[in-house]
Amino acid sequence: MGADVGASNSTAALVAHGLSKRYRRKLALDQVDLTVPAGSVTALVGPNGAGKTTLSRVCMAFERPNAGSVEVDGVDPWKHRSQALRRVGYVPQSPAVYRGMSVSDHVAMARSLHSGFDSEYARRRIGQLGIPLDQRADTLSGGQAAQLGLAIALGTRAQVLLLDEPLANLDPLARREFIQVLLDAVRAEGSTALLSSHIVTDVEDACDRLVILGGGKVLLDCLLEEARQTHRLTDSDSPPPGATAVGSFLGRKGGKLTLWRLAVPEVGAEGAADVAAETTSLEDVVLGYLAAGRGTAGLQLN
Amino acid sequence: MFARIQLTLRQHRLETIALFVLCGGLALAGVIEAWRLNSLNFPHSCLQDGRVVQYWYDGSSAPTACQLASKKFYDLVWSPDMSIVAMFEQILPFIVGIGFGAPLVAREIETGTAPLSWALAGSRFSWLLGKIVAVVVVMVPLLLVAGLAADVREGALVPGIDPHAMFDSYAARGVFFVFWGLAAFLGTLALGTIFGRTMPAVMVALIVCVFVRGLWEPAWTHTILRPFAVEADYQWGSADLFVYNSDQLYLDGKPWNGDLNQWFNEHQPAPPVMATPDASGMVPSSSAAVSNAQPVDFGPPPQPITYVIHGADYWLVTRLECAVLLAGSLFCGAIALFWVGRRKPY
Amino acid sequence: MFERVWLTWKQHRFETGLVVAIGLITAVAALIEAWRLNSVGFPSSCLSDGRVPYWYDPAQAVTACQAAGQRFHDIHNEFDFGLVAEAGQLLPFLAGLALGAQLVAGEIDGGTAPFAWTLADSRWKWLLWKLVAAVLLLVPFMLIAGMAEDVLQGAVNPGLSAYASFENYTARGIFWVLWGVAALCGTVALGTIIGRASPTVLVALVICIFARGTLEPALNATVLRPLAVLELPRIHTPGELVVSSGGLYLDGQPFSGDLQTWYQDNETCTALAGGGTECHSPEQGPEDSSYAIPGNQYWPVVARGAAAMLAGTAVLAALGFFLVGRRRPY
Repeated sequence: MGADVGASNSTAALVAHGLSKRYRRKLALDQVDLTVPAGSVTALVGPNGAGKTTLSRVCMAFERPNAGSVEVDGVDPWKHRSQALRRVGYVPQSPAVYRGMSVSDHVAMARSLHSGFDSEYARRRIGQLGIPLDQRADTLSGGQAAQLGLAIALGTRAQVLLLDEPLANLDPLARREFIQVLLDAVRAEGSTALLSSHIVTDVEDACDRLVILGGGKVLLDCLLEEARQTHRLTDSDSPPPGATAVGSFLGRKGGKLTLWRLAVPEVGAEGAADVAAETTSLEDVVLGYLAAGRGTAGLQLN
Repeated sequence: MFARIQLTLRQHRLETIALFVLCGGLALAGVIEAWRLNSLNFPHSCLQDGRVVQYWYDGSSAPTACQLASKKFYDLVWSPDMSIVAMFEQILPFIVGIGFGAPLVAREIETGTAPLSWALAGSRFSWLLGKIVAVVVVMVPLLLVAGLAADVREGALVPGIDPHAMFDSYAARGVFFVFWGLAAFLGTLALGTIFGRTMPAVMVALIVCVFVRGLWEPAWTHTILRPFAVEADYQWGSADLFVYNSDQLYLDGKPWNGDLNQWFNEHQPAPPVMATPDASGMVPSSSAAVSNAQPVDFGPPPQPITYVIHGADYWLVTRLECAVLLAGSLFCGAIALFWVGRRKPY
Repeated sequence: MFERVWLTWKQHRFETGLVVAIGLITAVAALIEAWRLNSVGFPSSCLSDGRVPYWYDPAQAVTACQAAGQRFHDIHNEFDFGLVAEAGQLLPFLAGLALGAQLVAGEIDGGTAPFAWTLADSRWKWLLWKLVAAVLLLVPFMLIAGMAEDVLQGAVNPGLSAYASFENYTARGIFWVLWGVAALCGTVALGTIIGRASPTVLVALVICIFARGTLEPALNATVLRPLAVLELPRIHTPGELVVSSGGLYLDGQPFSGDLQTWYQDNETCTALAGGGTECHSPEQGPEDSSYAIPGNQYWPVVARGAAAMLAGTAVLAALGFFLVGRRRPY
């Protein structure tokens, strides 16, 4: 099997350097630099076509990057695919199930494929959600199928969980249950999760870090609290002092709103306390960057 | 309508490409093989009843010019490439038909796009009819081209007979390509609509096609073609289609119900008187040896009457059989159109 | 291991059922047809080179041999008999294609490949186990069918053992297994490229037909040629396999001259009493010889053919492994 390739950076679960991926004429990922700290639950947000799924696929060695590199728990998935995949639990966007095979069969299949798969753990998770083990998987509801996918990913006991928009087709209750199961597992195992989602309230409840992708680039990568504190929303075109425009979008009452990114003063400097006292809602921050990701003017990247 | 056809073919581009490649390839292969046979310039004076008689040299005499030409001809006819082309002519329409029929509905159901399509279309009937028309519009001309090339190849195999005046492999060439293809297409479409899955539809369709094709000609000659058959002196290898022999035996034009073995025993010629060897011990092979034999001529023995369909009735038979194939195709298409309205889109 | 195999069969239960059905139905049908032929009780004294001759002469009385032969051939010429006897031309392929198309292409088509390939320790191991499960299913059922076809072949030529005759040899016996496994591995490789199950089946079917039509000439020209012995004209052993022509021979010696000239030079002419001459060709001129393998070499021939086919199968399997490692799972 070869020597186990250890983590080169013990504090990072996922590291991407200058990662680029092109599909014919479309640049899906453009020089992406990203570090997901170990033990964090990171939200990956972006408009459709931003590159979220591509990033997941590159990390899973489904797609070969055109440039740059990525390491999952210190292992390059293209150079050492088996070892990388042993460190990752993956929940795809639309988890497909095998026709005519029961939930129990799916767990058995995972056990037969993945050495070290904890089928008891997976069954326990499934049982806690009230999903019958003998039920045919193709008769499960969308939420139940997503939970099955999560249970199997958790059963791998992987240190890194990659979840590619698993909540997209779930009702609010199913989403809440999904996130709760995820958080319980992550806290108990000390693992890292990278969760891509459009639904801001779920992100707020579950995640401690936020990465926003737009046009294949990383537009924002920071803690959730930092995102709230370092952005302002105004209904005028006049920028707050030292701020740069991020993007404009339509407010709930129909007026134009603009998100600004503040020049954050050092701790102790004049005005720093005032800045920290005011926060913008995460939803507004995300909307501003989503608008920017569609290509509206105003955003200058560092 | 053109846009609809184009979109359907784009949706099934793998099958469309395969259709063009297979039909075009087989047509080209058929024409090439016909050209190779015709290039041998088999002398028409050597034809017997329009055919090239196969010749096996057995060392008893020098091969004649006709026999040498026949050997070259059949060396080509039995070559592996010619056999492969002939084999593909038997199966191409079925492969094309099954290839298009299976995914047309079943794949939409399998991939989950059926709810979207059926919701947008409003009428599932017109949705499916549009798809069928789109496929048929492309499939028919391409199969016709391949079928006509098979006719050309058959014509080269039997240089002295018009391929449309003989029944050699008649159900595996010409317009039959189109009608077999339609039957396989609509039959597999019906299966795919019922099963909702492509692979079972493909497998069942393949097995059904093998049975139908194998039983087709025997079934026709035993049933529908009988009333069209006429009495004739049938020779094996003629352009006529052998349909059946009468159960009744006839002798001198009258029904005869005796014991055939007894008749032969009563009518055996007397054994010839053997000539004595000459001084050298050789027995001359001249006819003098049987000069003492009694000449006999009992005429032909009791025989059944043979009923055939003459080669000139090729189009009659073709029209009949293709009409039945078309009727079967339309029936299967009707099943598909009916079932698509009733089934769930998943 | 058993669980892995069982789950694969369960996952592909339609194809599993199809393979079992093909094997069992063919076996039963072949045995029934063999029994029907044997029930005719064709007298051994009437056999010719171990075969039932075919007489057709309406100008002669029907002897007891001919009557039995007629009953024998009436069964032999029936449509269902032909279907069973020729099953080996298509059914082993169908079994291999059906399974092979689903192993990889079916997973990609069905969207379950990401699930399987992310969980699997390695894609190679994943495919290897799937192939093991498929082969464990194919081999016994194809072998049953192939052996039953051997029994049928033995009944077709009552005086000739099926294992001492090359008649239809690549469509019976162990060749059912070989064709099935070759079709399986080839279809896996093809399916990995195409990524869709039903086009894979149809393209693979076309390729199988090519392979079926070219295998015997290819084997005859290559691995079997060394086993062939020159058979002088008019010398034939029952059940032999003719692999190539040996050229013309005359009186046991190779003949390379021109036939027309030889016959002209060797004809005898005698003067006729009434004037003129009568010329006769020699009784026997140069004849074709052949390189043939006698029937008692059945097992060495089968071994060589099997080795060649297994080598080809191994190449196809290796191609499948290579492609599955590089392919996207969607």
